Amino acid sequence: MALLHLSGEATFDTVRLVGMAIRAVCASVSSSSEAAQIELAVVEASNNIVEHAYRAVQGDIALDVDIGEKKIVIALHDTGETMPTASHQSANLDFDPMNLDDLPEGGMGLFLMTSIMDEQSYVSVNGKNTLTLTKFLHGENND
Amino acid sequence: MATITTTKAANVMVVTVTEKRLDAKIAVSFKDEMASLINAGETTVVLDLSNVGFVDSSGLGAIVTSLKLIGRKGDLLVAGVKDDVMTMFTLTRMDRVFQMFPTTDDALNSLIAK
Repeated sequence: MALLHLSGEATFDTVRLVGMAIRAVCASVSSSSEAAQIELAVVEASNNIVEHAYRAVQGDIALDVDIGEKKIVIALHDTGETMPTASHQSANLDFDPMNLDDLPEGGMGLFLMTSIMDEQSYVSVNGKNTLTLTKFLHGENND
Repeated sequence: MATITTTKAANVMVVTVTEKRLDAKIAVSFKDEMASLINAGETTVVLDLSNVGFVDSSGLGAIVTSLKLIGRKGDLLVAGVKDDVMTMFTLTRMDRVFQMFPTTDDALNSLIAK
């Protein structure tokens, strides 16, 4: 079990660094393709914090990355707006690939997070929001 | 800063993304640069992603926006997608939306064959 803490101003520059760090750390216990997917999930979650939780205001983003033998647990913290339960994003991504007008140009973040990660939970306590993403390693609970 | 370079081959505009990451930081710039080209009449485009190692949903969304802007007037072919980036296309099923080719040359050849 190893714990890594990352934090910085919630900007897209920070999200890039966070993504690269997450990929490198996850690649040490997982396949490179799985590490790339976990990076994607964390970047999508972090982008949501920059774009929606803080919108026009500045704030900080902090991550706790817990690397275990059987799972990777990444907790993202912010003190911005709490995400509504019925978010603007959908966990589904339904469209007709043949219909140009139907193609999504955004709102794919939540879908990607749920597709890639095995578990996710979101809590807001005293103005502090925490999204926890879990990926089980070696195919355990990988349904 | 420009996120793309362009090369014209016959009536095809080859657009190479020069950034390693097509993400939220540059998605708006990329989208604007693509829109400028398309609005100037470049409606047959090969998008070369061979330099790109990471695409997030903002980047993918910007590519979709470009496809929609071209509409039925032309084609947007995607070339040189690395394995990790291909996962983004397959997860979102965008691999069924775009014509995808291993290299820019393969994409150009498919246009010539038409």
